[in-house]
Amino acid sequence: MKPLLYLCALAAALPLWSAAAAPPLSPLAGTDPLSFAIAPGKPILAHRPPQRYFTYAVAPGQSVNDVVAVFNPSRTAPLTVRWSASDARTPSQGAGIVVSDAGPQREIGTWMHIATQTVTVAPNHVTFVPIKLSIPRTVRPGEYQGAISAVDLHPTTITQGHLHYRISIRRTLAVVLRVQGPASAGLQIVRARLVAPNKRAVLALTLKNTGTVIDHPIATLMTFTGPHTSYTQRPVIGALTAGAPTTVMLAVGRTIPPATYRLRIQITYLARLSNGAAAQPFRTQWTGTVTVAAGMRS
Amino acid sequence: LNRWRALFTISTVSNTRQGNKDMRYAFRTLILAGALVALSVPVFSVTHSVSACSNPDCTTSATGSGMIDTYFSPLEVNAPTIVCDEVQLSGEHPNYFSGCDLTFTTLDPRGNNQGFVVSVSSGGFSSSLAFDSATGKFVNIPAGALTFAEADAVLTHCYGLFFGLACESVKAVTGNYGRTLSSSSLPVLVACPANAAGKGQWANHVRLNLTVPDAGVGLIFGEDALSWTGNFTVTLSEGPTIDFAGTYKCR
Repeated sequence: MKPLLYLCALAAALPLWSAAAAPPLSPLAGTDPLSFAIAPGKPILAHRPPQRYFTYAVAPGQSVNDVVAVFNPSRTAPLTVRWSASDARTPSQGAGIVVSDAGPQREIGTWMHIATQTVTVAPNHVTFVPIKLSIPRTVRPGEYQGAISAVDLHPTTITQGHLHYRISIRRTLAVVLRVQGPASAGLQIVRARLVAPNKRAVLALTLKNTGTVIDHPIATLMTFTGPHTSYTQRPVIGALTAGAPTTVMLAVGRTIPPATYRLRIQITYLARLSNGAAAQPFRTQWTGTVTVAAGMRS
Repeated sequence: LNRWRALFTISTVSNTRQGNKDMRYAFRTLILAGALVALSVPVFSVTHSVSACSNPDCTTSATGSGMIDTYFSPLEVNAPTIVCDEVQLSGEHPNYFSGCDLTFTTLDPRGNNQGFVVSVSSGGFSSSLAFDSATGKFVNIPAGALTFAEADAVLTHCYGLFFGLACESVKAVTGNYGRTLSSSSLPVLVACPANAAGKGQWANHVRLNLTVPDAGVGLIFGEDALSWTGNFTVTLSEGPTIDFAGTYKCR
């Protein structure tokens, strides 16, 4: 009976190997791709539609197990990558949300545990690595963002004279987390002042997200009201992660004659207070005075 | 049946007891699969994958194919090259200066023009021969000696269905001009999302200025006997959470 089973196994295995030899679909790549890719692994294992990033809704004190997949499309060379998890937060200047992959991690960068630090993937293979997201009990409910990254540990090396360059490729996957519980939205315009680097009129606008969810500004209206006329401007401001302060430098887009102006700033932003809910609009405003000095240009 | 075959072949890779058990399960699964194929029953599945990897240090491997490829973003960045101007021995100047041109191509065959961001980070340069015997430490050129000077991208291919241009506009993140490199990724190029369906390929160029002060490491930088190795990482980021309009001023 056993030999028969082995023959059956062989019969099953052979077509599989030939399927493995089929080149991956890559519509524009004529040669062996040098790049690699990572993706959420569970949809692959469960044959569900592809997912381009991780999304979780977890209560404080809870954890969730998942899998990240790394694909080596090379037909000849093995791939070794090193994993890392990072926070994504609003920088102190410029607003927006960027992955903070250096320095101390405080949120997703510390809550995400990847089972293995490095993994080697055979040519034309996919490897699945377990990950675990553990939310401490003390975490405030709200929205958090981060990333899982993989960096190729076999960098391209270029030598020029006495300088050698090792260039690695890194791929990132966004992690979008909702810590469940009562959340709040808030955006404070802390201050606005006119600064003049190189005599150019630039408005330094300091904002702070005072809530626990991400603020997405969708419309900003700035009105300069002077002794004789008024000027309006509609700058674009990036999103702010929960609790983040940031200063946005906005070039004053037109020539404003020297004078003291009453400045009114109104920001309309969207925020999601609960998981899966539609984004709600909120509004914040600030009023003060700014003085355009002689010699400032826009 | 071919679809299932294309999705998975082999195997569990693990050095744990659980992994060995899974290998036995995989073998039994293979035997079962053989019997099933012999009977032409269109069932072939892998049941061990997730549970096998619930323990630490366990990874599961499957063979790639056209089908499994669809689960991964096909966005690619190829192996970059870097060319630097010859390092000028400063003489009376206060530093050594060299301009470096980092070139690479990016390929977005997704067709949906969702945009992406290319960032660069560096660990600076180090030399195993550059040693300060007074402090007992190696002498390094920090990443901060490298400045992002400028960047540009040329669309070399745009495969669309219509005559009009159907690919994202890739542009420099000019707000980061003049900023120094560090171990944290500095965005240098952004592909702004476009309301079009096309597959594009770009030739990208990033100009980095290397300025090594004459003091400190500059005292021995440029010595022919010393060989300096610099580490650079080019990061490709995508995803719906990138704030293209607010952070990168895409419209």
